[in-house]
Amino acid sequence: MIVLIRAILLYLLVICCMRLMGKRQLGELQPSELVITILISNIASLPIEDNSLPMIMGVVPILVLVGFEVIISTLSLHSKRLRSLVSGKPIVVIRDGKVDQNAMKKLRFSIDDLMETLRAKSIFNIQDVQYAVVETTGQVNVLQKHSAQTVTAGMLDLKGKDEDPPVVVISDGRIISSSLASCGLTPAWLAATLRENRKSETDIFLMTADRNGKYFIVPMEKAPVKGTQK
Amino acid sequence: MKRVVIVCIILIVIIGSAAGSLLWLGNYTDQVAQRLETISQTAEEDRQKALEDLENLQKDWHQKEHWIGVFIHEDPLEVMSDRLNESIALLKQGLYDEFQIRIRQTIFTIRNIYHQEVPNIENIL
Repeated sequence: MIVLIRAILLYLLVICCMRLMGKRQLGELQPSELVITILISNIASLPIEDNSLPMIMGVVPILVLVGFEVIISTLSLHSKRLRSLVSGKPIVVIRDGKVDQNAMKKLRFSIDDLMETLRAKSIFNIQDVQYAVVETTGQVNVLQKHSAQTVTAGMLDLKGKDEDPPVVVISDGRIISSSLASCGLTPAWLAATLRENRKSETDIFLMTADRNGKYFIVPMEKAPVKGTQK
Repeated sequence: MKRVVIVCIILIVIIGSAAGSLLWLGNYTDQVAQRLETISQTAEEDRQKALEDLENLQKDWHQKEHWIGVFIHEDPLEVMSDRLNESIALLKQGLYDEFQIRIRQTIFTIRNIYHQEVPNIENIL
């Protein structure tokens, strides 16, 4: 029972800490953030496994690590020098279509690693690459040569207007008022649209809408009556 | 910015409670060590009084042990409890020499509990 309660408490603590570290933590891991994440997962498991260890021995290091991570990342925002000290700098490995072998040696990045990364980005010919940068997160970002780039509307000089993507306004029979407001639609518009489609909100599994009032509805599938399903 | 404020508050609370608990532990272990010294001297003159004092000390220790266990490993606390039990048993049996040795060990144990928590280079490394 104690193990269960300890596990729940530490789980809640780790969730709170991850929220405190912010969304950046989940999306892209900087070297310092990766270290903190590994450390937290190890520290949190100790008091769960060992009952003789006071829970405070897990809680305090986690809070201190997260605290310092938040402080360091805030200071890094204001100081470029600290930012490069903690996270490193992005390094260009292909410049003007030419592979920088020194930069690759420094990064201990083999040509196989580079080719693999390019292939993962659907680039099979290294000659198509104008610039390639290894970011501080270890991700490689590539700018293709003009001749190899995907044609865009801008290149073809096609006119069009920028549109916001549709948002979910009803999910699993429940209206999401914040989404409705974010795309400038009103509950009255929603009620009218549902009436027009002869549906109530509880009949809808998914409904998306955009700023122009264009919508898309996926009706809720009725639960099969017992004994009739084949 | 809100995050930084929360984090600073958490860190201040942690540092404050760590310093507070260390001071309290220092005072308490000193107090227990002094009481054990007195019991050791009393045992030579009045065995019954020494036994009563030692049992009172044990009761007090058992009450505080749970609280100390919140921020210290349980192992040294268990050693201290065992030493106190053994000291009482030796005094009851009238084995004074062994009792005096065990009391010395108990004093060392209680002082060691505090010394292991002091943030000095030895303990940190």
